[in-house]
Amino acid sequence: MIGSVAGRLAARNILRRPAEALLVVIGAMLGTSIIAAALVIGDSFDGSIRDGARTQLGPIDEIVQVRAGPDDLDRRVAQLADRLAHTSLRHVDGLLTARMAGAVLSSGRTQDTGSPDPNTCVMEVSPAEVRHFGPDPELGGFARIRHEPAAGTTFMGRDVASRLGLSTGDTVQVAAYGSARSFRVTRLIEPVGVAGYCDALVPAGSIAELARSAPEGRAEMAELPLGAVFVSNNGGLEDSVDHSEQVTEQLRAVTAGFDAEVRPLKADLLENAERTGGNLRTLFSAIGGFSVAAGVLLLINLVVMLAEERKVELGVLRAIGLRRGAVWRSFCIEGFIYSAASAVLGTALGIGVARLVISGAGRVFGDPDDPSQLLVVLRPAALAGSVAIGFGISALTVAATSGRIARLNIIAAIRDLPSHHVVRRTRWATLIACLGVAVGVAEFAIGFTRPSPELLFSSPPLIAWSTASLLAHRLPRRLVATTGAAFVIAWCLAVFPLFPREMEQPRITVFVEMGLIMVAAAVVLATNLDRLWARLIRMLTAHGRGVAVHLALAYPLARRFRTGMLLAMFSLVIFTMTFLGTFSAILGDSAPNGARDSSAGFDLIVDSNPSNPLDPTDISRDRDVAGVAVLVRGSAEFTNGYQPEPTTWPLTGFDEAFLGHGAPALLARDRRFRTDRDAFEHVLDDPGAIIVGTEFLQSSTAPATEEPEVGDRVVARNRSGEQVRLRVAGVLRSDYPIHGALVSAERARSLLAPTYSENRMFVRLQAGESADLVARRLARSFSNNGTSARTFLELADDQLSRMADFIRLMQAYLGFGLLIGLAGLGVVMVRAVRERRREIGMLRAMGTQARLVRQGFLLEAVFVAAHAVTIGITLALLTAAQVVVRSGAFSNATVEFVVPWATVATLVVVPLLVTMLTTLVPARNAAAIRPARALRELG
Amino acid sequence: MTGPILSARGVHKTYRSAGGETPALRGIDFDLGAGEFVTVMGPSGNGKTTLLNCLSGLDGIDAGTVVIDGHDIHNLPDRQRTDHRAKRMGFIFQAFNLIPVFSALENVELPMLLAGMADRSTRARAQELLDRVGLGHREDHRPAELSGGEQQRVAIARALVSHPAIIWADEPTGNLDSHTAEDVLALLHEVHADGQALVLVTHDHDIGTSGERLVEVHDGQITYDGPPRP
Repeated sequence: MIGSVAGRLAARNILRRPAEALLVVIGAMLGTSIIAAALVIGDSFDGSIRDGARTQLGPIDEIVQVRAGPDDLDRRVAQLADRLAHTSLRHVDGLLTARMAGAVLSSGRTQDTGSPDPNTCVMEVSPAEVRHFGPDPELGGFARIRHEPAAGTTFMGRDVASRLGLSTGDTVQVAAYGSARSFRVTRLIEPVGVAGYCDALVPAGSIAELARSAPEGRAEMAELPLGAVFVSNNGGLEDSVDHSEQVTEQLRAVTAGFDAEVRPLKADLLENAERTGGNLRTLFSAIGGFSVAAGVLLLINLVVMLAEERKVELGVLRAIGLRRGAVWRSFCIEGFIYSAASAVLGTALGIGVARLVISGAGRVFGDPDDPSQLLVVLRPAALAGSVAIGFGISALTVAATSGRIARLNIIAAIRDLPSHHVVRRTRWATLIACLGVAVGVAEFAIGFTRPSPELLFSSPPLIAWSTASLLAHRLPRRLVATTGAAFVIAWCLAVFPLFPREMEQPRITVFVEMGLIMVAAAVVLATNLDRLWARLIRMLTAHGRGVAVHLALAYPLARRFRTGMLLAMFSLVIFTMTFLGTFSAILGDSAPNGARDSSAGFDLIVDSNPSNPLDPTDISRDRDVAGVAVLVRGSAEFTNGYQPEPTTWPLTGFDEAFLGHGAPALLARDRRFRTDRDAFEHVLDDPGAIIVGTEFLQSSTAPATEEPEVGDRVVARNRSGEQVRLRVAGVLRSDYPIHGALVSAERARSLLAPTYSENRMFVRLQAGESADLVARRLARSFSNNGTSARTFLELADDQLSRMADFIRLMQAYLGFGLLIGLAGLGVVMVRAVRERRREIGMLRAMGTQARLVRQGFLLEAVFVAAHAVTIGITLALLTAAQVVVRSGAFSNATVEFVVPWATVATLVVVPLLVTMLTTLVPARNAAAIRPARALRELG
Repeated sequence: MTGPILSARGVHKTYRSAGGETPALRGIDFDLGAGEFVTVMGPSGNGKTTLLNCLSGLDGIDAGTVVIDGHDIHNLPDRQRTDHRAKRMGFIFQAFNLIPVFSALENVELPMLLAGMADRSTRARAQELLDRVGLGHREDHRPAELSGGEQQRVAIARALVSHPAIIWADEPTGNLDSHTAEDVLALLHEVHADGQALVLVTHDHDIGTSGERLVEVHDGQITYDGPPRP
């Protein structure tokens, strides 16, 4: 019976005011949409990268590759293929031989078509063999290609042809090894499967011919042509990777001694997809967590307002026998229905948000001209998960808040008086508070002695909270809350100066924790300053001024719980956006320092295609060039103390010319060296010395736990498996050119042979020359080499701008959280108008102008928003400054703290403006309330 | 008695809802002299409160005129009508209708602020009125911290603070016990003694006969207007 009463009450309340019910649903759905967006973004990155298995690989699971000169290439490939064909390889259903080379493709025309594509690849493969390679000819992309291109012709990938502005019948110029050949495009092919692995299919023998015609001395500088045997495992497009580990092992065993490299291409690609998708899912969920928290606070506010509005009827129902449990159930049923609706609608909205983020991410991560390369992937599991999580969070919030509501004081409710919850101290509460103090003290002791920044930092706030909880029943609550909150904020600001040794190089999580704790403490402090505000208002109104302010501030100051919830909701979002904005600005500002530190006194960094590298003598002869240093580049396998797994990492070799105009700046160097230059000169002399970047051998997908230090031992392995022991002589301050690790050119060649190239140069210009102009001229003059010439500032800017763009993308995503805050404030104001009809009616009866009522509501919303903006921005700047100055993550001195004035201005102006806009409608409705009607409704 | 400070002629008011039309006032003619104490009586639902609302300008009318201080208040724009209300009228309601987030003192001084009549003496005037209604010691208390009788006394102080010419009181003792109701009534008589006109809507026969003039309303029409009948 009671249950049916609860159900009936819930149903009637939903149907009674559908518009108000809709507002609650809107308020609750915003949090769900953030969760849905995070899940869809993760799946979309995963799916987009995974799609590479179809477009770039098809039936290819592994590659066995050898590098050889033109005279040796066919023999080496044939030997390799023969060895594999005559071995019984388990789980393998096909082998395919191919020859490939890096090349620069261009239309040969200068004005009317796309610029040369500097990093393309040409391939020689038999279409007939491809059709029989793997389980399905369609997967290979050659189902309808019967013959290989005739002499002097090529089949081009449709995407590359489009970039170069070429179509069938046009001529394409292929440049490699210092020579170039023209081919007529006779067919455009879909870049799918084997056809997607390289950009153009050329007739057999073309690559060797290009390499043979290389001018004397040029071939040694270039990457050798590649001979490959592609391997297809049993299974379909993706499940074939189940055998990849076993097949790779077999291939390595079979090709031992062949100087061949075996790579599980598809397994690597799918693993990368999963890792990237997972990381982005986690990142967006974590950052979105702030918005979800804001959504939860909004929902609590809405449920409390619902209860407040129905207080009298609930009191009467309780008086005539409705049990507390039934009140709770009634609210829960109603809330669960709202939660279910909001979970579904929120998920739909989240898909829209994800689409926007993916579109932005396409511009950040991929080709700015083709952001569509990132797909929006909707997986049923993610959508179901979003609905479930969204419903769960909303339902739990409603259930917990309803529990508090159900404990209403019947008399106070019937008389419509504010209910003063007398919180009785239970034994459990006392026990938990005592436990909190004990745990806090223990954490502090451990944090201090070990030392652990995480424990040391978090223990005093825990002790403060627990102590406040114990004292709240013995001392005035306001005094306890204010003192506790002030102490916590003071602790957050003082912990580093007080404990410099113990708090040395804390992880970034400490600062996130710090931000959250400071926001919570600031909100407690702000809501307990109501008497100060009241005094200020009294002073103002004592002279007959500020009636609107008086009316506006009365409610937020009197209803501290609600104001606190609103403030916390809003402040959290502003805090996160300011925090991210600060790092975006810091990155932008650090480019000039980074450029200076990595330039070694040179002006330009000039890259060319590895298979068709620039001849340094060509550059040296240029009238504007004063000096050139050629770098040897490749990748080697390394291990060190914190990375025991062999990890492939870029390796760069340099010679004396590199130190001709200075040296890159070092963050740390061996004490033996007086200057950074001394350390580099030592590396030139000592083949056992290495200089590394700050991110050396760190995972790109996990937070850094250890960093390289001077004196570290590093083991490098060359292609024949021989181990070379090296010692770190210095750590680079910044590594924008991505050297990875630096050794002498001689040592680099010996470690990397035969897969290195000398396609990068540092160029010093004659004094007074414009680096930008010369860079553009060089790139144009040597376009056949796929030349890219940039200033160091441009290089640093380019890399930093991607990071800054990504941060801005996160800010935009969080902007949705700001929308929650703003919409939440709007929803709360709409409900406030309903709740205060009686007071508004009376005010109007007493002679309050409609204009004053409207101003009062607008000012009230602006007061809350301005408070939140102040708290959020101030604390975010303080936290960000601490991160930059104190965190190990920014021990790099090229990063300096800057206040992002543009972001700060935006975060002040936009929220206040939008707050006024969202409050305009409820404020207008309030002003339109007719006094007689409002007063009559109550009679 | 000088000329009326309020003169209503042919006032009609009809409530419209989905269920149809309900005539509330049907051709009301009414004059109020300065300093008069008029009680309005009649059965529930016959138009007493509507009469008060329409005469004070809180609610609109469908036909007729209500002239106060030479102005037909229903022809005034909302801004002027509101301004007029703030300066010339005070209201006391059965449900007290104090602003819950303001203290007693703030509630009392509010009309002065709204009427633009506030100056350095406002607070003193509000304190003086609270003293007069016997609540000087509770000026910092919010309505929820006061009893029903105390709240109504604050409401009376609020109605008086800006020296209004007319005080409208709608069942001011309806929510109070008899003893507290007597106190409140005595206070209203004091108000009247100060020379302010008082229009008091009531069910209570004793209160109804305590004024100088009695108006009885039945079915939206004035059926009696004269000295109180025993």
